[in-house]
Amino acid sequence: MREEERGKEQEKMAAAGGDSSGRGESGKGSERGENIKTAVQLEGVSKRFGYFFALKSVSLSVKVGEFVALLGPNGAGKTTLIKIIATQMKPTAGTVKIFGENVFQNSSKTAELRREIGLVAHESFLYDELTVRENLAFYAKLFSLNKARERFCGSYESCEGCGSSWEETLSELVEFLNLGRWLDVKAKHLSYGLRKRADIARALIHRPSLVLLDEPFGGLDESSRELLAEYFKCFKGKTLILSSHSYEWAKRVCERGILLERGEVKQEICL
Amino acid sequence: MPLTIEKWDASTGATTAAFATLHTALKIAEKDLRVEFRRSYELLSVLTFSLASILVCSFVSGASATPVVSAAFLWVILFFASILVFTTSFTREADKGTLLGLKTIPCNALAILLGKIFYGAALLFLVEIVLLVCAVVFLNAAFRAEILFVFFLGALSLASAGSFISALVMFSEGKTLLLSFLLFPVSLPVLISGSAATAKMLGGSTLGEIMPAIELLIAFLLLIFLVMSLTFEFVIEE
Repeated sequence: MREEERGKEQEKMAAAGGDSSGRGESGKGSERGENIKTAVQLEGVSKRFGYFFALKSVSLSVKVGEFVALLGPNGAGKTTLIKIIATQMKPTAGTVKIFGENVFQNSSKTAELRREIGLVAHESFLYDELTVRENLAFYAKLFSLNKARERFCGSYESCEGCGSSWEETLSELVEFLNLGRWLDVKAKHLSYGLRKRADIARALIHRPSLVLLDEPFGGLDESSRELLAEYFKCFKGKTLILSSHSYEWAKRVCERGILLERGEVKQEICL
Repeated sequence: MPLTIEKWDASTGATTAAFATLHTALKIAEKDLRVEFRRSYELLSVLTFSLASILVCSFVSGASATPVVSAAFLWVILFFASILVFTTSFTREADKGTLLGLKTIPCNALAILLGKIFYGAALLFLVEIVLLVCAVVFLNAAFRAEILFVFFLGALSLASAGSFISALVMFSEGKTLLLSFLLFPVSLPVLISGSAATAKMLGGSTLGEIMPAIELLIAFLLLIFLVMSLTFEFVIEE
């Protein structure tokens, strides 16, 4: 029964909110995108904090639609790398390209690139005093989603000409992440697992093409990890980069792993 | 392929960078005010402090406080109230990790600062209204509607200085101490011109007569906005 439900969820996610691969391929934005096959490309990226090198000349490439895990022990530089890819932190040296665009070269272009990125970090971005619905609405409005009808309809086959709005995305995500009962509950009253799910909804509310997950399984019990891993598998078509120190859990979601150690790429592995 | 950046730019001609910045700033201010009113203990502590201070001032001066003394009382209390407001303005976001969330939004960093300024200005204006009512009741100050304009400019200027300094110190160890130390010299032009304009207003001067003070407040606003727009991108970086 549960398997069936998950199957339905996967189909729903792939057809509507979750699957963004169709954005460019079938939508109006395809002219530009067809040539871009690399979602993330890093060349010689270093990050220094004082005298400490968090990243040392990291070069890697992630294809569009690929699920990649950044593996390594604590202090390997996974979070720093995620923050740099998320355009939250400037590298000390090297170039970062997201969907072919050189990040950090032009601040307005960098800001626009954030529309394509969804970040779930260690810490929750939800405001304790606001309800889950208010939190999601706040972030949706910051992405101007209520004004982005043309963009949505041009990008998604499933909502061609229908005038899709963030409220529709919200209801899809709430159904997908099973958050219905908790929508009007203040974020401070949510359990850690629920908060994580609400945070995932927050990161997906603007339908990003690139999803970055920083230690998504940390602090969760086995059943919650299972549930999250199942959700992540439904992100078909999106590019997903996940950081984890657990090989086992990364393997359940990703097809390729990049092993980091002391800020350097040690090895690339097939999971 | 996902990227629709150029298309988005072309299809939203009305959404210029300035409009987008303002839109984002207003949304952030709205959120902050909502959070502030839900967690009302901080706002109540600021209001209680203001009320208690003006009562003490009225005990000292009685009902015969001159306009100069009343204006000095009002601005000293307002300055300390602003320290209370801006101690938590950026620090709360940085401590809870939500600042990183704000940094994920597709807008320039200045929008976040402007949002905090609008929020701070709204709170300070509320404190000013309460203070003015108290001054009329307890210090026998003469109420004039034009004084609200001076208070509005003063709140906006103090909020600009306070929010910017709050952002500057948010990652430091002794942020509360640093904020108090830095806010005073930076906001001196606001305190000097604001208190002088208020004293004259309470003494019966017209808006035209206090124009030099208003011009100084506006000049301060322009200058601090220039500094903020040039430097805030670097300030907000960890």
